[in-house]
Order: sequence, then structure tokens, then C-alpha cells
Amino acid sequence: MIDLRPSPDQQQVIDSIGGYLRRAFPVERFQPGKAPETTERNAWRELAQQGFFGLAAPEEVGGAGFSVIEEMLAQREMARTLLSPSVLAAGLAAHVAHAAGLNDLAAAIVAGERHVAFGSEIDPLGAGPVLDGILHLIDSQAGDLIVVMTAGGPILFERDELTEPAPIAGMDETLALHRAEARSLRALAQAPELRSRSTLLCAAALLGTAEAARDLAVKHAGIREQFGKPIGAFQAVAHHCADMELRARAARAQTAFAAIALADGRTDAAFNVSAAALVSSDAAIRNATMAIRVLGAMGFTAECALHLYLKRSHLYELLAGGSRVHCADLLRHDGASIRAAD
Amino acid sequence: MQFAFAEQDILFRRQVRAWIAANKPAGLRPDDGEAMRAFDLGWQRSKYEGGWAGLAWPREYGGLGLSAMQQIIWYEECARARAPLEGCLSICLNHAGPTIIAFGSEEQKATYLPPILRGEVVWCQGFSEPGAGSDLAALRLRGEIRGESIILNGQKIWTSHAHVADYQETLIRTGALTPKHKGLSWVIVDMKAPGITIRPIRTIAHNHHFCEVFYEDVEVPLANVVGAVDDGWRVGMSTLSFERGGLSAGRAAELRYLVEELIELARETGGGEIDGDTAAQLARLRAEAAALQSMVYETVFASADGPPGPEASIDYLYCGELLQRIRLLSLEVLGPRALEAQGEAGRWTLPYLNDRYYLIAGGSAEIRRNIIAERVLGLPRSY
Ligand SMILES: Cc1cc2nc3c(=O)[nH]c(=O)nc-3n(C[C@H](O)[C@H](O)[C@H](O)COP(=O)(O)OP(=O)(O)OC[C@H]3O[C@@H](n4cnc5c(N)ncnc54)[C@H](O)[C@@H]3O)c2cc1C
Repeated sequence: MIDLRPSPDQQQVIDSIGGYLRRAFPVERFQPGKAPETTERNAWRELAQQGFFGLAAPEEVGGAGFSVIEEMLAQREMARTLLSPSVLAAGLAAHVAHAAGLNDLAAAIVAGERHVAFGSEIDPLGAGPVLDGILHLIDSQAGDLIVVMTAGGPILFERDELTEPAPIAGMDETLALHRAEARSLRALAQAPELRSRSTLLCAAALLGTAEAARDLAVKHAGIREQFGKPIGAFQAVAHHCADMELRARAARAQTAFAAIALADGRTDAAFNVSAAALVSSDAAIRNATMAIRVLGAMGFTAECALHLYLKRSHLYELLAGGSRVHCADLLRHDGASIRAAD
Repeated sequence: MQFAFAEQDILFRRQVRAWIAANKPAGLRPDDGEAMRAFDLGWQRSKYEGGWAGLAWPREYGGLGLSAMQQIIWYEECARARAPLEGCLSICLNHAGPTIIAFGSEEQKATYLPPILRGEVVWCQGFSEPGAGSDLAALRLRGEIRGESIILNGQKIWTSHAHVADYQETLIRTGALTPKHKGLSWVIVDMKAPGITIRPIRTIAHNHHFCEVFYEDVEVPLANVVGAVDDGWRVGMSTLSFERGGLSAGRAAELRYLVEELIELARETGGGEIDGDTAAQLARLRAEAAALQSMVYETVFASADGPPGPEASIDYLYCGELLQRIRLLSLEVLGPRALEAQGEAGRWTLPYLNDRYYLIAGGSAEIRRNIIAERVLGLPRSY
């Protein structure tokens, strides 16, 4: 059987997560002058109760035991509503802790007892377990756990072990940004085997971003009238929208295939995950770029969510490991990765 | 979501692989004229004799009635073995034949279908005219009904392989010019009939892929109308092919191998090394070819029981544009040899010229974008 669409059970996961997020974290919460009532941080326990941090974690640490496929589908929904990447960071951190045998830590993360945030390397931290280097922290506070995607896979450590995290203005104003330094820092856990999984989940976030930008543009193009008709009736606009669909569709199919490959332990999983990351990054960045144009000056405002999709695209592209790295990885595979069907 | 092959599919793949390895035609496919015709017919005859003719055709018409999965496996194995596709027989196997099966009379079926499967005839498709390209329904080739005959006067153009064809599936105007979709008829025209003049057209790719066809008082039996007179638009436009996306899966697989060949070429040209910029582009092509294959799998099995939806049009467009990127990069990789059109370089430069027709023929890239915007995204009609 080949079926790249969600099964009815998987669709239910999508609908319930998507439905919850649209109610609890509507995209409109980011409109300027409107401090969001609920933030991911103050709703952290509730997110834990909803199962966000342990979707695919094993039951022994309090997880729901879903496969990486459901986890991918959930991540796509989270990105659509611009949920903080910290939620993904927590899910990943639980995997990393569990993989390193730190079941108590994993359980604390799944239960929402520990906050987690992403780090992103500026000056690479090295192969671990002792880390030296410079990094960004995304949406973090003192006391958080930090998960960073390194060349050797995701690693986990305490934020408080870093030297003087300094706040700096970030492109995405909805996510606090810090610059920090690791000096002979000891990682709590390191999980090279989770590299593909964390890349795939970032690819899913990029996919959700690409789709959300497409949807905003298509909706606008059907409503906004100029010269006496909807702008979507102008071919230049219609074709921009068609291109967004083309890219989103490629990203969706490849991310789905990569998730299946990973879930089934196929030998071409790493190849397909890298391909998903590349195709999804391209879709997210270009769809957000074009969508901003389709909305005209409205798209240029902070009131419209599109700028956040654009900014998140760049963030997730980095968190996915960076397109340069995936290009290099993809070329390292030999021709054996060709035949999906064999 | 799943991707798994049943035991019987795996067995089927083995069987196909072994048969293709033992029977695929030797040598390169000539890309023009009688030699090309003979090559394509020969391959079809082997398939017929080996029991592999009419993969997608229903069994009652001599086909194999293969499932979508089996069709995909067949085409993927062809790509793997670098075995040729149907070539100039694509029209009769994938369009004219299926149209006759769906709309033809018993007599038409008995007369025209078996020779197609046996690899005895070539068909061409006479749809486009000088004044009717993307706007196909504007066609005017006149068909005047006189007793038991239709008399054709007018012209077709861009008819692929008309100069080597025995029959043409032809859309003609038997009724009024407006409304333009009404008044068309789908007829079988014998290419040897008196009054037909065929003028091959030389293409940018150094071959004669297509022709102009002129009709001067050409007499066609009224019995050659397939479906009803004046109902030709419906007959010609129904997505009749029983081909369930196997071909697009095959094309996706071909593209993946093509990217691999290009990587190989880049390595050889660079003495084992690929420069950074080219390497990044090649990696992207690998990713995109993988994505194309995933898209096709998604589409085929999303519409397994019916004709493919407008999504198939998206996949085709993605495929066509990816192919252009591959071809363009191949010229960069060739460097100064890009000026040559023979030998090793010609294996890349001629297809570089040729393959751009994927974004023109049978629904241009722009027309496909129109369709995506309207039928997939629900935007107002923009054309
Ligand atoms: C290699 C090759 C083989 C072919 N084989 C056959 C064959 O066997 N039988 C047959 O009948 N025909 C055949 N064709 C013809 C093919 O179907 C037509 O070329 C195609 O339908 C486009 O028509 P046109 O060439 O007249 O271009 P036009 O329709 O004039 O288009 C020219 C340009 O305008 C754009 N355009 C036109 N209308 C619109 C619109 N509404 N919105 C946006 N853009 C638009 C097109 O995208 C294109 O870029 C073949 C063509 C090629 C290149």
C-alpha cells in the first residue's frame, strides 16, 4: 500500500491539535498593541496536559507514544498558528533525555515541569560532550533547558551553565533573542541518532509555514478588489498563488514520505529528510515572500501575520540544520538513495 | 500514511525486472523518421509477444488491466533499466486507443484496437491548428457531412510524428463556430487518404518531431466518427487514459536517474571534484526529484479509483520545470563543450533543447497555473 495522506486516525490528531491551537493561540494574538493574554510560557502546564511535549515520547516517561508521523503532522499545525518553537524544543528535549537514559528528566519535560528553548549555533559548539562556542537562544529565560541542533545531532544542557546570555534585538520581535557563550560546558545529553528526527520536525514546521502563507494570500486574492474585480482574477496574481501551491505541495509530499521513511527505519530516511528540509525551506521562504506581495501594503504591516511566517521560515531553516548542510549531506549519499520503491 | 509493498507487488517487480532486462531493445532510440518508427514498433511487438502489451487497457480489449501499483512498478522498472517508453506509440496506447475503448462502436474497437497492441500501427493526434493552440476549442478544420462521408478541408499543425503515422485522431468542426465547444467531432483519419499533405517541420532540437498537415477534400467515412457527431469536445477531452499515474511515476523515476547521471558528469568533468556552487545546485535537484516522486505517489493513490484530479496537472508542471533546471545545469557542467551537439556532449545538449517542449505542449506552464489557481485554489477565473 502506498498512501501519503493522513489516515482517519491521523486526521483526527491534526484536527484536534489544530482546533485547540486556533482557539488557544489564534494568530491574531500577535497584532501590535495587543499583548497576548496567553503565552506559551504561561500556558506551559496546560500545553503539557494537552500532551504537546510528549506526543511521540514513550509511555514510560508519560508520553502518548505516537509515531514520528503524528509528531510531524502536529508540528505542521503548530507552525501554522505560530506557536513558539519552544514547544517543539521541549518535545525534542524529551526525546534526547530519554535516548540518553535520563528518564526522570524526560518525564519532567513531558509533564511541563521544565521549560525548554532552542539554541542555534553561531560558532559551532563542537562534538561534545564538553562544549565551547557561541550560540543564539530563542525565546528562552533563566532556568530553561536548552536544546541545540549540532553537527553531531541534538544536545541538551542547562541554560544557567552558559556564560552571560545577553539580550539582543531579534528579527522576530515575538521571540526573545539572546546571544550566549558556552565555555567548557558539559551537555546533559546528546543524541546523534535523533538528528534526522529533529530535522524532519523542523521541515514540518516549514511546511506548515508555507501552507499558512499560501492560505492567507489565496484568501486575500479572492476578496480584495481592484479595477472592479478580485485581484485573484488577474493572472499575475493567480499565478503567484499557483506557484505557492506548487511549492507547498512538493514540501507536503516529501515531508510525508520522509516521515514514513523514518518511522519505518528505511535506509534512505536520512536522504529523504534532508530533501524534505530543503524543499520545505524553499517553500516557506518563497511563499511568505510572495504572499507579502500579494497582500500589498497590508502585507507590509506588522498587523498582518505574514511577516511572522517569513521570519519563522528563516528561523526554522536554521534550526533544521541549514540548507548548506543539507545540500552537502544530500550529495554525500550515493545513487542508492534513488529508488523509493525498492 | 504508509509506504509498503505487498508480497505480490514485490514478486511482480521481480518478474518485470527480469523480463525488461532480457527484452529491452538494444541500442539508442533514433529520434526521427522511419528508423524511430521501426524502433518503437519493434519494442511494442516484443511487449506484445511477451504478454506485456496494453498495461493499463482493460482485459476485455486485450490489455492487462494492471492496478495503479503495478503500472507504477512497470514504469519505474523501465526507468531503472533505461528501457524506452512508448515513444511515438504513446498517442495510440495512451490516448486514441483508450478513447475508442470508451466511446467507439464495436466495429471500431475490433478494427483499430488489436493492431495497436500488436505494434503494427502508429497514430498521431491532430488537435492543434494555427489559430487554435491553448484555446483548442477555437479549431476550424472543416468537416462537411455528405451522405455517408465527411469531407475535410483545412489544416492542422504541430502534429507529432504525422510523417510516420498510419492514423490520426482528429478533432474537426462539423457544426457552427460558436459556441466553440459545440460542433466538434472526433474522427479517425487514414493518413494515406488522398488529399492529405504532410509537411514535416524542423525543430530547435535538430529533428522533425512534428508536422503541418493539410486536408484538401479528404473523404473520411462517417463511420469513422467516434462518439456522436458534434460531441467531439467531450470525447477528446475526457481524461480517458486508463493510465493511473504510472507514467508520471516513471517520469519521476527517470528524472531521479537523470540527476544521478548529471552528478556523474559533474564528477568526471571536475576530475573527481564538484565545485561548491554546482554541488549545491545538484543537491537541490536531488531533493526536488525526490519530492516529485513523493508528489506522484500521493496523487496516484489519492485518486486510485477515478481519473486523476487537477493535482496531476501540478505534478506535471513541477516535473516539467524541474527538468528545465536539470537541463540548464547540465550545460553549465559541460562548460565549453556545451557548444557541441554530438557525441557525449550531444547526449545533454540536444535534450536541453528538446525537453523545453514539456512546458509548451499539451497545456503550457501558464495554462497549468491557470488551472491550479482556479480548480485547486478556488480563485476566480483569470484567463
Ligand atoms: C513538441 C510539441 C509537440 C506537439 N505535439 C502535438 C500533437 O501531436 N498534436 C497536437 O494537436 N498538438 C501538438 N502540439 C501543440 C501543443 O498542444 C500547443 O503548442 C499548445 O497547446 C500551445 O499552443 P500554441 O503553441 O499555439 O501556443 P499559444 O496558445 O499561442 O501560447 C503562446 C504563449 O501564450 C501563453 N498563453 C496562451 N493562452 C494563455 C492564457 N489563457 N493564459 C496565460 N497564458 C496563455 C502560453 O502559455 C504560451 O506561453 C505540440 C507542441 C509541441 C511543442
